[in-house]
Parts: sequence; structure tokens; C-alpha cells
Amino acid sequence: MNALLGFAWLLTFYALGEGLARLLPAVPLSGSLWGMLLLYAALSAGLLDERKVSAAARPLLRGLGLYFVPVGVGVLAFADLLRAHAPAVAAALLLGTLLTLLAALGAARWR
Amino acid sequence: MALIATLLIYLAAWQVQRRWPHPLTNPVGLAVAVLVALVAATGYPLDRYRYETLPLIWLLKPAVVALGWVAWRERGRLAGRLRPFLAGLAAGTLTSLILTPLLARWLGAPPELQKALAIKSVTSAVAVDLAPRLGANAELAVPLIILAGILGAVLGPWIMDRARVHDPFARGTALGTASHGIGTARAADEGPLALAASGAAMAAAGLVTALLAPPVFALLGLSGG
Repeated sequence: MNALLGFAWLLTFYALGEGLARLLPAVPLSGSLWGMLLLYAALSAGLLDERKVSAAARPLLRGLGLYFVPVGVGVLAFADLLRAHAPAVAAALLLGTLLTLLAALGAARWR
Repeated sequence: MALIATLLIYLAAWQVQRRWPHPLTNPVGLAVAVLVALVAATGYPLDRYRYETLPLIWLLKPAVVALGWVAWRERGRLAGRLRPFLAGLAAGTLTSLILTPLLARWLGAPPELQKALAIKSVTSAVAVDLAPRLGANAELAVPLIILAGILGAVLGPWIMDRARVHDPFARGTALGTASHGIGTARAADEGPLALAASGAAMAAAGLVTALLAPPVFALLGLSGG
């Protein structure tokens, strides 16, 4: 029951987020990202008991990887595109990831 | 059929990960690879696969909301370190958004691929949401995101040692910013502070990417289509 109640809270924040996304179309945030911000704000302000959310958030996030597996399988539709540009994609991925990591690492040492 | 097969293969991939814990045995990457091979080999119609697995994709929205709880839970450990956290997050996200598509462009990749590569460091959960708004394709981006996660998790600690940075907070922030959930799983090996920084960075990188990608794409001439 607690997990279901928590899930209802997550959906409530998602719905609030969707509403806000519609109210503020100039801000490029989706309903779920607004919902994430609103949930953070509500927890910080003490408006919502953390235990109510964690009962659902913990098991839900444990399966997070599973939910986008089907999107990954959709890459089959792009097999030709990827094959045609495999070296460019590999180089951009490798260098891009390492440069992103080093940029974040360097800046995070700023005091 | 597609839904239960996806679930069972994912669970099997989890067992592989438990047996041989390594970023290369990441369960999402393994499951995607096995399912791609299966769908291709059996000729199962991709549209039917997509339709039958929609319930999983619906769970992404409340899961992204739940990342707000992760960031909230870790806020105590990050207290007093907000400035370096935000600096690392912004520097990493901008590097990913600007340099990755430019590298791909110089190497001759079309705009479609440049856009998918630009969002490679954001968690897939957010990318699925974000891609259509940016004119990018989530199905093209997600496998690249998984690979960016694995690359960062495998090579990240090694290159950070070479850079002589041993501060777990900076290392966690970098892993979460560059390699989302897969990097965060790796950060867990570096202790609770690295794990907290990485988890919070993963959640926040989704937000920062959503906010910065539209102006960056406009500057790079990647807007629209």
C-alpha cells in the first residue's frame, strides 16, 4: 500500500509538472523534469514526508535501466546510418566522453 | 511476447552483472545487444516490438520525477560544495553539448547523428523525453548514451588517476555529469561522497542539458528537423 501511495505522489508531481510546462512554454523543461524540480522543492520545504515518496521511488529507480531498453532496441532502424558513419561516431563518443569528464573534473575542483 | 522477453532478458543480464560486476557487463547494454540481435534474427516487426513494450516507457516519466528525491537525499553530503558542483556540472554539460557534435561534424557525420551525440551524457530516462523537443531521435541517442556511460565508467577512473585528481567529490561529479547512471554505479566503488555527487550530478545534468541544449543547438545550426 505504501508503495502505491508513493507512486500516486510521483504521478501527482508529474501531473503538476505537466501543468507547469504548459503554463510556461518558454522554459524548455518537460513535465517530468518540472516534476523532478517540484518534488525536490516540496521535500526541501518539508511539505511532503520523504518516507511517502521513498517507498515508491526506491523500487521504481531500481528498475530504471529496464524502462529504456526498448528505446535502445529501436536503434535497429538506424543500423545503416550508424554503419556508414561508424568511425566518426566512435571517435566523437570516445573523445567527447573523455573531454566531458575532464572538463567536469577540472571545474569541480574550483573553490 | 516482446514485453516478457525484454523483462526476462534484462533480468538475465542482471544476473550476469552480479556474477561479473564490471561496466562492460552493464545490464542495459547487454539486454539491448541481445534483443537487437534477437529482433534482427527473427524478423520480429520493430513497430510491433515498440508497441508491445510501451508500458515500460511510460514508467520513465515517474522515474525522472523520482530523481528529484535522489538529489534531495544526497543534498546533505553536497552541502558547502554547491559552487564546485555547479561549475563541474556546467563545464561538463557544455563540453558535451558543443564539442561532441562538432567533432562528429568534422568527421563527416550528418546533423541527425550530431544531435544524438550531443545529448550522449544525459541519462537515457531524460533523453527519451528531451530528444523530440530538440529534433533529435531518442532511438538513435539511447545506444550512444549507453556507450558513453560504459566508456566513462571503464576509462574515467584511469584517466582521472592520470590527471592526479583524487578528490572523491570532484571524481563523482565528473562521472555523473559525463556518464549518468552507468558512471554513478562506478562512482559507488569510490565511496559514499563520490556516489552522492555522481547521483546528484546525473539528476542535475538532465535539467541543465534541457535548459542549455536549445540555445547551443541554435548556435551550432542544429535547430529544427
